[in-house]
Amino acid sequence: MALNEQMKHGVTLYSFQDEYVWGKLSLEGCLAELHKMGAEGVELLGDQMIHNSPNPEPGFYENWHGWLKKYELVPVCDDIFINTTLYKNRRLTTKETIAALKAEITHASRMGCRIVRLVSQTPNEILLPCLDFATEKDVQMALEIHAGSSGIEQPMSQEFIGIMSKANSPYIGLVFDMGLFCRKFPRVIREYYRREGVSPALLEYVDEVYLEGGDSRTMDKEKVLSRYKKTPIDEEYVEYTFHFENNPLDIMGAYLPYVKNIHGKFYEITPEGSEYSVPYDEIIPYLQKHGYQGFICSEYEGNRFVPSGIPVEAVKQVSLHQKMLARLFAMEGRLSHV
Amino acid sequence: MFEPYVISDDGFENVVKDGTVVGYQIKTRIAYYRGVPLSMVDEIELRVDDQEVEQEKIHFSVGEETFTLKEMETVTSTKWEFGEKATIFVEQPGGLSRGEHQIFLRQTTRVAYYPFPLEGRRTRTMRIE
Repeated sequence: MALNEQMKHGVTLYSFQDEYVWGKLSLEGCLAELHKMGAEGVELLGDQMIHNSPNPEPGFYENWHGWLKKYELVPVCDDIFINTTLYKNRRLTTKETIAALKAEITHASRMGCRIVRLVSQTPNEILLPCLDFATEKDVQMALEIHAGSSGIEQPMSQEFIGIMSKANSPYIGLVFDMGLFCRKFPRVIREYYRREGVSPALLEYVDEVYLEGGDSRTMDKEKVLSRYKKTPIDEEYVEYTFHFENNPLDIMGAYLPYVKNIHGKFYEITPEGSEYSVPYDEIIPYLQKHGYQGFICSEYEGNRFVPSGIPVEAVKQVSLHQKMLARLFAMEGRLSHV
Repeated sequence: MFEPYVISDDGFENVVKDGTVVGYQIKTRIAYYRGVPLSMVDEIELRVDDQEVEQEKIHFSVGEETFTLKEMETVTSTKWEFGEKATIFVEQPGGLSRGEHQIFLRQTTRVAYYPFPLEGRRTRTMRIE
């Protein structure tokens, strides 16, 4: 297999939101960190780190392309949001929503991103009306399949997949988030909620559900609450578990030809260099075996659960995740050459 | 999670105009992970020493732009950027007394991909010097 046909590892700047918000890292500072850790590509949320996105100040694009060159990064994906709730008294009309998506596609294209990530609840009826425009701009529209409200079995995801399969265009596809494959409930989140006062018996119960191969969807929510709920925070914890699914890897199988990008979601890299919940040592060989050639972008979400007063170490965690990906890619490389 | 964003460490002070204290202000970052047009801010609720502040007395500023909460409902051209400190100014002749005050601030944003607005809230004791 030629090098340029192999999977590549990038980072989504979503991982550095805490450093960004407190002014520790600027957008350029994030890109410099990516270069230092050897990332090949960058994904970002326009609305997070680019002022007035998708209509940034003049001069932004020149800076951006200068930084990409300086830090040797491929612009992979712009994670966009269609603000259907822009107004308090109504939702956007279809015409307005189409215009909003086109503006985002134009912005992504000017940044050199060939993918826009669509999020849960994006109206599916705007896809086909934007297809010619996206094709002309060479930007692929890809819905994120994420645990919870945009899980693979959710009606809106299924409707999107129906449109995607029928259109069978390279400009409509999917992004899979690896939080779909939590074999264990993330312990940094469990411990965060323990500090918030969730009952220990409930924490233990949720851990067991995941260890036994289940997840929030296999729990009988009402029964769990009647058994364990002592305070409102217990209910919040049960609700929150819906952000983590424990699916077999094969839910991706049929869709891999449509997968444009992968979110390498992680919560905690252990001292041994593995993710605590997500089985990357199975995921990478699986993707390689099925010929996936796109990016996997490290997405750190453990940052939200660091105890207050203790600094978030996203750069360190992301560089460990990148190192883990590079190690797993190399192992698979050896195997594929045997 | 986003709680630390809701009330800034700095910027809680009385505001003087033409030599007269006309009110007080507090600074806040959006309790979310991206910036949104101001029209998507659904609710701002401020309580000072357990007293609810009247909505009509609140003025919300980002950058050089200032709006009342009612006006903000239609402001789509100005974004409250992620990490950007907005200023909440409350009209109150004489301002707040020197010393400690208990501040509660709640902000909700219609983030578009949840069926309900996302909420950030924080209570903290702050000082007017």
